Amino acid sequence: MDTAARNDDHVAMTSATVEQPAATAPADRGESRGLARQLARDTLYLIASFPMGVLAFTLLVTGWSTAISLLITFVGIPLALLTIFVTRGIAWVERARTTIVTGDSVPGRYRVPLPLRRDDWRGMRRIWEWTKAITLDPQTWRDTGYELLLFPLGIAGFTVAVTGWSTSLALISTPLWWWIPHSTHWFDLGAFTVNSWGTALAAMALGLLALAVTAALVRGLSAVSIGLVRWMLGCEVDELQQRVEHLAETRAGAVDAAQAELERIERDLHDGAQARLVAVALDLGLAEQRIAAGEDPASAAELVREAREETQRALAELRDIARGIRPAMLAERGLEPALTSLAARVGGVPTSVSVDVGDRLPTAAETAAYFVVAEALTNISKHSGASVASVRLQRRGAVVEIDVHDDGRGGANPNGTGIDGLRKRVEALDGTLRLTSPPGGPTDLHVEIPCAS
Amino acid sequence: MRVVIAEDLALLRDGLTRMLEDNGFEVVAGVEDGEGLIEAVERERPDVCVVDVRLPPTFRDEGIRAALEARRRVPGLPVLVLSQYVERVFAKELLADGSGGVGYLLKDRVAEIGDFVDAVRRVAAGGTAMDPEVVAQLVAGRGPARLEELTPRERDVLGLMAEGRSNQAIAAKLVVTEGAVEKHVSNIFGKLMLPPSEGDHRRVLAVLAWLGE
Repeated sequence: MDTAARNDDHVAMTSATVEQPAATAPADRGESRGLARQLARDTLYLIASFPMGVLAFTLLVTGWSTAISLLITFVGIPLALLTIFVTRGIAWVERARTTIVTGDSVPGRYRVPLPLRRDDWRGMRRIWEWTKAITLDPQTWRDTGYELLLFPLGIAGFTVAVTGWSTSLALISTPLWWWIPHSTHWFDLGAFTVNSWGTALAAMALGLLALAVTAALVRGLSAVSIGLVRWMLGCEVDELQQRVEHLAETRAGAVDAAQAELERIERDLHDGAQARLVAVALDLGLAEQRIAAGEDPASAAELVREAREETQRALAELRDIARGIRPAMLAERGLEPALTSLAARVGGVPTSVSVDVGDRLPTAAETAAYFVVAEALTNISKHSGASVASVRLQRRGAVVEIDVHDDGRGGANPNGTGIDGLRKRVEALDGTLRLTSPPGGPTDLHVEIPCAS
Repeated sequence: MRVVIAEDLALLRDGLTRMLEDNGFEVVAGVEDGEGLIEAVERERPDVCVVDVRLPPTFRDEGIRAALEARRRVPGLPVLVLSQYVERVFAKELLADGSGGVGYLLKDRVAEIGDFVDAVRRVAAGGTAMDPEVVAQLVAGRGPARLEELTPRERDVLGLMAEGRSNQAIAAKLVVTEGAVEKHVSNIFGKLMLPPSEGDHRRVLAVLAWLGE
């Protein structure tokens, strides 16, 4: 708070009692009114912090102490969850309160746990995951920290606002009391006693000083509180902005990847199955012609045999294309059998597969994980010259981690088209992909795919 | 009769070669792209070319562009273009220069060997071979209003005529006499107010132009 503003404030607070000439410009008066309103809002904000702080402190301390003492029995866990939700509720009220005072909203961001379904109550695993996601949310603990700080802050704010304003007003009004006839003709103010016009006016001057100090303190404390709310209860707007940009980018990447995939399928169909079927028709037409012309039946039979073989190749190609969209093994049996069969099929390099992801993952995550491994293994068998490779999938909380390792010659291009397509696929699911392949090897591919929602 | 084939897939190139050779053609060159086609055409001066629309490097309309370029370099070069799907625009581009010897057929037609070989010969002789699908698209694009004046039989004849078939072939297809076909044709020309045209090819162009208007 600067001196000019304090002087303005001084004018505003005294203009009611002391007649001021109309020298103050209207703009100044507007500013004064704005400041007065601001101080009123700050004061109400600080006063309200007190009950909020007491409420939060009481609920949190009671909630946690009861929950922790009951943690060995199963009642403790729901009680802890209840406390967490109470904490979030209070945080919500605090954000709303700040929004009312400042006009700017404070965005809070919590992790979204896997939604619970009805049949989850049979297996405890998902409930455990859910509880863990709620409990380990960093924002919850920032909320808790803030709410504990709110208690002393609320007391301080309340004390300063209430005693500061009342003391100032009492001192300023001293001459009035002195002037009123029949009232007591002296006040004991501790430091000095008001027993004359001189001391009454001195008390008034002291009151004006106290008024300025109170205004500064109220403004300052309220600013500190609001700053604390923004810092502890809000997530950075920049962070949100970055997130939006990242999402927009990965979404575009996903669309590109889908389009490239469609074009690949179209080409596969055109050059593969479709061309083979034309060839089959051609062979059969020729065979028909030869038979009709009464030529050597053996040459016609040869054409028919070729046509049959071509049909089988067309079928195999159609199957491969369908597998490229969603492998049957994956759809029917899940990741582990699909990846084991994939590792055996790609061949060339002995590959160990270890999958530890618990229940089935969401379809999109599962398919992405499969194609990451498929592409990696194809690259290994084509380019790495490795003697051994390993694939490891494991679930850590709400993330699946995929690690593909080979002991080959390394030097893989992290921006090659194959890897780029995979990266887009992974980023579309909000995941990350990292390829380390120094010349001379080994090559490590590390991919993380969220699978919580 | 000497043929150049432009087809990027070896499987189909071999199949086409075998089929044409079985039917008395001499395949003098089998090439995989547009550049190869132009080179082979200038070198061999074939009687007819069979060209796939989709050729490397773009796999879009490379074949059409190569065929048009080949016809620019060797005027009157007969070209039969094969396509996996029908695109009216391609047909129009081929017909645009108004000279004869063009064909545009779906790839599937190669299996009806008799018809296909007939189409190759017709194109080689300076005639036209339009796929029934192309004709159907042109007719559909034309709208039924002006075709209403035609009897169903006249519409059949119009379609076959647009495909590039001769009166004799139309008569055989519809199992009527050539005289009857001639009568239908003059009725069609009268009803559609087309100028009388001499020769099969001019007639086809007139009909296609009317349809494509």
